[in-house]
Amino acid sequence: MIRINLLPADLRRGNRIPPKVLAAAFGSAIAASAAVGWFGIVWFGDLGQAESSLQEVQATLAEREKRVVYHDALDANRKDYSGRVQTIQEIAKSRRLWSKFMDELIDVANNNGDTERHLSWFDGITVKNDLKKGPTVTMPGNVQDADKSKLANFHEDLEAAPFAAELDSKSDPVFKLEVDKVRIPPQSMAFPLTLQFKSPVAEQKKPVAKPAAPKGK
Amino acid sequence: MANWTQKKQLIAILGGAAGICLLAAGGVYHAQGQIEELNRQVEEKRQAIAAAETKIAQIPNLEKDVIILRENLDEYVKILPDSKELNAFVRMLQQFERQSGILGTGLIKKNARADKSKNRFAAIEYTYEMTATLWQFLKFINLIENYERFVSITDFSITAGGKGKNDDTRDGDVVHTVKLALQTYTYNGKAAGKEVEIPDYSAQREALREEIWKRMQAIKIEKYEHRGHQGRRDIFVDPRERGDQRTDGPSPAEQRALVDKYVTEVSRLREMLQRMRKPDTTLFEQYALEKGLREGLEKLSGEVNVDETRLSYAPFRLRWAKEVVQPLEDLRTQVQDVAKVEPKRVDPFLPKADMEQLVADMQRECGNGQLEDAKNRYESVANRLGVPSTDPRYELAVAAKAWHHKASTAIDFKGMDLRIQGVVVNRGGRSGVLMNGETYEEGDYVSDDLLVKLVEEEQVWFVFRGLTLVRTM
Repeated sequence: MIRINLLPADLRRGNRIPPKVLAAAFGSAIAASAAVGWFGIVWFGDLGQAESSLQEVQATLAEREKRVVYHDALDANRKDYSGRVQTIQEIAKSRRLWSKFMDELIDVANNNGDTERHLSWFDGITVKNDLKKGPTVTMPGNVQDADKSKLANFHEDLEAAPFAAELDSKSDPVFKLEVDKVRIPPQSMAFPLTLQFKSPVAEQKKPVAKPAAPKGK
Repeated sequence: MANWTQKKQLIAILGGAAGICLLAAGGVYHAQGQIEELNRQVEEKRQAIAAAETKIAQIPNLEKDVIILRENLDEYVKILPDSKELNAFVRMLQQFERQSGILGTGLIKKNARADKSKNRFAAIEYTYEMTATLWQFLKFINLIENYERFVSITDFSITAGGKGKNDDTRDGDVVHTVKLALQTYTYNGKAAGKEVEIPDYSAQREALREEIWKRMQAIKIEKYEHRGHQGRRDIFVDPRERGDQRTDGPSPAEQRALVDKYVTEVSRLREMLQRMRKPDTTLFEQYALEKGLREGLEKLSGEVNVDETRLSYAPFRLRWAKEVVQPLEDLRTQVQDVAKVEPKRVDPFLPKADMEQLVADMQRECGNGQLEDAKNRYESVANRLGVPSTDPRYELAVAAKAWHHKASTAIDFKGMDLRIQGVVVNRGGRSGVLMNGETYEEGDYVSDDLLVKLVEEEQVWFVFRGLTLVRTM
């Protein structure tokens, strides 16, 4: 028997969208929409917000930059000036005032005019500076008379002189008796004298007060 | 698609949906990456802002520091210049040479050493040769050490002169040969560009004035003021006498005695001054001591100048300077100070007790015939006896003045040339006296202020300036 389906094509059973397909299509559409929506939120929401935050901080930073440039310029000036001060202090530490030393040495030799304790004089003086060792003073000296205690007195007075605190070492009292018939009295004790001063470099290694630093550093 | 089987359709739909989801997920992943990158950048910028704000917070202190340092910049440049300025340095040496009196014989610049230490300063070295006395040399190096530019004396040597009889001398001091190594410095640090303009600079500088001054003190380099000769002997000269040279002056032993004599005299004057200042010393004694002190000082000052030239033995010169010349100068100053203080006394007149003492002493001295002492005693305090009549001490002052008048009159009378050659005593009438070859009767005037009052066998009474005086024969 021949059957003739008189239903319109779209209502015919064989041509209808099957429910499974329909459900799948519906589900897929929801899933795809959700995915696209999520992307949209992330792209236009979070990313946009991050971009605007960045623009905001960039603007703030740009504003601060002007003051930072001023700060850096000030800092450069300060470093320049402080460097010079530090340099002055560094080289000042390496200097010894020889006029002061000589004045003190003359006082020791003159001994307030007391010629009974000792009467001394020198044939010359040589001062050699060595940054590592410190300055060395070499002075061939003489003490009038043959009385050895006068030589000891002179060395004692040297040890009590103000500059003695800066000495690293001093030569010991030794002598050679000399006779000069032209002089009155003719006898004198000639002695070598070497004074070794402490090195200013070694002194600098000790902790010293730093030059005044600016506050808030 | 219409012909697709259901299975195919399902696959297509689900596949398409899965694809879209995957694309969306990929997009989200990509966007998250970008967000993270942006957030990282934001975080970095925030840190940069925080760092900038820290720096900005430091600006006030930094400005303060720069102002202080900048205000002292001139001082730094003077001490440690940027440029060598060696012409000025050499000119300075010439100026110091003239001031000290040394005679420069050579100035050699040492070759600059290659500076590998990257120091912020470069040393420039000179060797200076000269002839100078010890005192000239010390003055010269002291001037260098106190110079505004930093100069260091590294090495030096003195070769003593004065070995022979006829050595070169300047101002009486032996000339030595001196070699000196000088070092000066220039600043190597790179300048940090131009000075930053600080807003409101003047007002800030005013506010920091004290701090600027303090910081300036911190960079001052150590200096020393050389004390000069001060009578000390040159330690590079053999002080012993030369037996081969004749000297006209006193021997060392005599010179020592001379110094000792002056030291004793100065001690005596010093003791007088101390006694004068003691609280239990009466004002009268004070005046007498002051007078003695002044006279002693005057006498000694004159003698010191003469005897100073006789001191040729060097070791005694310091003692002379320290124990004679200086104390004399101190005494002179102290006596002048006493004189300055005097007008400030509240009571310008002698106290009652002192006046009573004065009158008693004058009376005693006039009675003993010590007329000069009585007169001097009065005159030493005369300027403090002019008390007004309302003062209770007035009578004492008048009494003292009366004794002074008596003493002075008696002294003048004593000094008059009255040679009594004979007398005629007439009991019933006027007696007479032969004096200086002339005769005078009682009541006759010898001169305007001298009257013959009474003539007796052994003595003649005169009235001299209102005072009755007796001349015995």
